[in-house]
Order: sequence, then structure tokens, then C-alpha cells
Amino acid sequence: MTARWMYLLFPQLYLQQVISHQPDPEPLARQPVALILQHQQRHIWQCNRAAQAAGVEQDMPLNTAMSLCPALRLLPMDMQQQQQILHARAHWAGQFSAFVSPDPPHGLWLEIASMLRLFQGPDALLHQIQQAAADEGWPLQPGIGQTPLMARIRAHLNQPFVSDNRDLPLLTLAQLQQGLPLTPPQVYQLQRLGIQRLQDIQRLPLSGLASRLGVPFSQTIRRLLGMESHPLEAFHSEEMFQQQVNFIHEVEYSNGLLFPLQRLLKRLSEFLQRRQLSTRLLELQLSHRQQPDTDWQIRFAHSEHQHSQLVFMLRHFLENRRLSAPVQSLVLRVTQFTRRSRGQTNLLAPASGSYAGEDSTQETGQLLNRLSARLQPQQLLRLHTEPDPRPEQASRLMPHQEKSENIGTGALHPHTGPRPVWLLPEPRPCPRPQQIIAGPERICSGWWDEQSIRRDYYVCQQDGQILWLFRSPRGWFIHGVFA
Amino acid sequence: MPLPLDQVIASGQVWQGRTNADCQPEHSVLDTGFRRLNEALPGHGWQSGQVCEIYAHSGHGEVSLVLPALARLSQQPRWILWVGSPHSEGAKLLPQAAALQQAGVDIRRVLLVHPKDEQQAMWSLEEGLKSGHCSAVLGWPGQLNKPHIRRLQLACSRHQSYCWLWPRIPFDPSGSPAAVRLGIERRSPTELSVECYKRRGLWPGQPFTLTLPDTASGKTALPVHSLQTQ
Repeated sequence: MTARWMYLLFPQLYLQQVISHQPDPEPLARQPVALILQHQQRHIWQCNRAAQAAGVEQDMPLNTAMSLCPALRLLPMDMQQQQQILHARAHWAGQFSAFVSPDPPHGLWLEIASMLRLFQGPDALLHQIQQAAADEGWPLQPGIGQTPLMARIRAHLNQPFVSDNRDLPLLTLAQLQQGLPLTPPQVYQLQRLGIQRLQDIQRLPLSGLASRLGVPFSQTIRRLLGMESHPLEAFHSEEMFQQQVNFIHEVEYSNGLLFPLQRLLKRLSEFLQRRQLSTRLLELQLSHRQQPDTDWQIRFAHSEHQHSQLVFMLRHFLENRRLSAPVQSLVLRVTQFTRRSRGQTNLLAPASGSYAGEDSTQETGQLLNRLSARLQPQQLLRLHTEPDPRPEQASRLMPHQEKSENIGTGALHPHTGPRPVWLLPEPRPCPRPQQIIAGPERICSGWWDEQSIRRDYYVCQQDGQILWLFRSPRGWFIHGVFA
Repeated sequence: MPLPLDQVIASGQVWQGRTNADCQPEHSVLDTGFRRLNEALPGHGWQSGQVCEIYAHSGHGEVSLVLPALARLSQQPRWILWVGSPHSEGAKLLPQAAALQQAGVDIRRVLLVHPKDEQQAMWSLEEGLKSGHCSAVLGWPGQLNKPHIRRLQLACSRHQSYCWLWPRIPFDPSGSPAAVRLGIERRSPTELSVECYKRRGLWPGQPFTLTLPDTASGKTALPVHSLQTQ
């Protein structure tokens, strides 16, 4: 048999997802927790082990469940969130196959026939997927089959891969019902026909079954057995990143957000890595019980994609923030991306200390990001020169910005005399100097912009210091220090 | 039978203070641009991975000492991080781009940090050294704790960058974890007296005199006019 399809079944997907994003998931896993659907609030939709131990079951009326287990925590879940969670898993599965098709609510189909050579066989692929899911801490039941439906049955039966399909005709109706979209009336009717296993169905003419049980049923059987193609809708990832976390206990301190954010940032960095993108702007939306939502925008000095760097910057960002109210849920959204400039590094990397290679913007940007995570923008400066005779205009300090490629490329005025390394922010009045070493250099300029100066600059020595002084109509001033 | 001393020395079991070439191979050495200073420093130049403290009053030529090295380092596509600045009678001095350009430093590589307090200054210095994206880190700390210097020295030696500090406090004779400690005083406009308080691998040396290039009076050599004529 050729393995063409894989089905990934995530049991308790939503419950597990909600719990794993809490700031302290360990104690919560032991508490009884149940999910209810937004549009069907009177019934339990999913519940965890602790709740099951107390007697709570799926589809149980809410009142019954609450009287059985008063400590039960209920969490609402809407369709949009469901879709987001399943799409996040589809993103993750994209690393194993190019064709992923979501099968709500709990499953994904993966086309694997074209991937078998890459992963060296179905067993190795299966092992890798199970390993990757275990690393994330997700329960996973995979299944491999010749048709999508066969893979789905295998996943539900938790028998991932049977190389020859010997057991297939022997599957009972109850087993088939788990993996196939069969309604209870259809199963009842099959039982009345005396059918117990799949081989009994295979023996009957399909046209006859279609007239008795309806066309959809015979279509399902034909698709299961591979007699008819099974069209699946391919999952196309959006060019935007958005993930949400709902908290069971409201988070009161900004540091408490860091734990769930670390997981989200890991997803984000994988998302960026797969697309060879990076980002400069994270949007964080916090929703509160009574207040309107808080929107935070986190800008980086340089675009970034690495998980450790993102966490570092977010930690510093959160350190300086206070929550206006406890947070119920959090959305991390990234909509603006930049292409990574060059992914290639020099194979024959020069030894440390002799960087003869090309400008590595990515690397130098990282330091800027880390510094600006803690410092204010006006604390991080670059030097710039202008061909202006006036010292204040010729040498300037500018705050660093991303679009600052031309900073520091300006030339000097051709008749610039000796300049001291240090300049006083404001010229300071001083007495007439005793010992003049060089000068004067007359600078008489700036009539065009209200800042005209008329100065004679001298280099003078005072108590061992070499100073840069000028004489103007208003007297003598110290302007710089030769160091 | 006891071994002759020559054999013990030849087998490399005895470390000798006077061997100036005692530079670990993993350190790269940068020419200081001054012959006398090269001779005085272990390894014949500034060694990477070593913190160097320079004690001087501002205006005594303390930055001129490293400008040739900075000019060389600015050829690398990495930052030269300046953290803080010296003070003059309460006013913060600001580096002048024109002077650095005249000294041959590519100012596109210069990144300035104006720290709010000493803690932020130390953090920025260490972050610069740890990142490995700085060819040199320059600092003007207002206070020096030995554990801080030790941290900087460790970060510096791990990432093989150059680090110069100009402490704004008087020389502390009780010692410091920095590898090199120099004291600078200006003798004349172009002559500096340099004293080596500490150099790793060598004894502290005698003060010596260094001749600076004539930057103050400039290459254009402006004529000196007497004040009386004006």
C-alpha cells in the first residue's frame, strides 16, 4: 500500500491550548476545567481529566455538571478562536508537508506521498512528527492511509500505520463510525441490514447502498476505498501573524504576561523563520473586564526575528509598563514585515578581530535593538558632519533611527582647522588666556539663518589642559577641550 | 642531579617577567600608533580582550592616545560604542565629529550612549562587550566597583573586543581587575608623560614621555599672531 495521506488528530486541542498558555499551567491541569461554546452555552463541550473524574462528561447540561462538580471552571470559546487555534496548528504542520488541509474541529490532513523521499519513509516521518508534537507538549494521534478517510480512521483508532491493510475489511461499524461522518440513523439502518464489518459493505453493490442509505453515504464509502477522489481544501497561510491567549485567572502584573508571551514569540519566530521575514513592530492587545482594551505597540530599532532577542526586548518593554487593570486575554499581532536582507554569511568567516567582510547590518542591528530596549531614543546617538564652517553646525549628534544610512557620511568644510575631541554644550565665558599655542582661526559665518557668529578661535594651554577658546565681541569663551 | 637553569627556561616551565612578547596567541594586538607606548604595553600594542583604564584630567591628551587605534578599528563593520562622557565643571562634554574625522575615524561606526545613571552606564558597557558587535567600547564611568570591572574584563576577554575606560574618579592604588592601567599627564602641547600602574604580564614600568602628532596646532599650521596687534 502506498501511504498517501496523514491525518493528525489533536485530542482535547482547545482545552489543552487554553491551559498551556496560562501563567502557571501546572496546578491548573489538576483543577477541573471545562469549555463551553459561545453559541451553545448550556452544554459542556470539552472537559479535562480532573473534571471527568468528578463525573462531568461531554455534552452534559451545564446545571448537572455544576452540581456534580461545584469547583468546575468554565471557559467560553467562540468559533473564531477555534479557527485560530486550528490554523496555528496548520502553520506548525506546514513544516512537514506542503499541502495541509484543516478538518475542524480537531484534525488536519497532510499530503505525504510527495514528502516520503525527503523524510525517508512513513515510519521516519511519523516518528519526527510525534517527536515534534511531544516537544511542544501536545497530545497527538497521527494516522496514515491511502485515502484521507482511511488516515482519519487510523488516527481515531490510534493505530498510526499498518503497512498492509489486512485489518481494513474487518473494521466494525463502531470503529468506522469514529472516523467516518456517519449519522446514528445510518448506522442503525446498516445494522438492520445485517452489516457488522466493512467487508459486508464491500460485498454489496454500491448503487444499491446509495438508493437505500443516500448518496452521501455511498460517496463516503467510495472515497474511503479510493474509488472516488476526495477533494480537500488546501490551507493557505495568511501573511499576518495573530495569536490569542485567554487567561483563566486574570493577570495583574505585567511580568505575568511574559510567560504566555514567550510561547507566542516562539511561534512568531518560527513563522518568521519559515517565511524568511523579520519584523519591527509588535502589536499587543490586552483586554480587561471593564475597561476598554489596552493597545501596546512595541517598536524595534532594527527588524528582528530571533526568539531570544524578541523575548529580551519584550522583557524590557514589560518592565517599564504597568497594567491599568487585570488582563483577561492577550492578542499578539504582527502585520508589518520586512524581507531579510541577506541570508548568506561568509563561508570562510574571517577570524575574530579581523572583520574584513561586508557590512553585516543584521548583526549590528541586534545591539541597537538591545540598547534601545532599555534606553530612551534620545539617549542613543550617532555622529554627523555637515560642510558648515560653524563648529556647532559642522558636528552634530543625532538620535539613531532606522533610516539613517546617510548619517556620518557628510564631508567637512574644506577650510576646517584643528578641532578638539570634546566640545562644551555651551561656550563658557573665561578670562583672557595667558599662553596661546595656535591661532587665530577666524570663523565668520551663518548670516543666512539667524545664527551668525563672529569668532576668532585660539588653541591655548591652561594648567596642562589644551583648550579651544574663542574671542568674540562679547569677550573670551572656552568652547572645547583637546583630549 | 639538578637541572641547569637554562634547560628549565628553555622547556618553558618558568615564566619570566621581562619577556615582553608574552602575549597569548588568541589575543590580537593592535598597533597603538606610538612607538614608546607599543614598547611599554605587553604584546607590543593594545591587546584585545583586555580592559584598559586610563587616568587623566580631561584635556591632557587622554583620548589622543587611542585615536590611531580607533581609526584602524573603524574600518571594521562593527560599532565603536561610547558610553558617557567626561565632565568639565559640571557640563557634559560632547564628542565632536569633525575632530574624529580629522583623526581618520569613520564616524558612521560610532554609537553614543548617554546613560541616565551609573547603573545604566555599566549595563550599556557590558551589553556592548557581550554582543560581540562592537570593535571597541569606550567608557567614562563616574564610579568604579571592582566587581563591575571584573565583569567587564570577563565580557571583554570572551568576545575579544577592545575596551578603554577613563574613570572620572582619582586613581585607586588598591588595585583593579583591569588588565592595563595607565596614568597620563601632559607635559607640553605635544608631549605626554605616561605611567604604567599595571600591565598584565609585566612589572609596572617607569614613567616615559610620548610625543603626540601635532594635532592641536594642526596640519595647516596656522600662524601665531600676537594679541597686541589686534
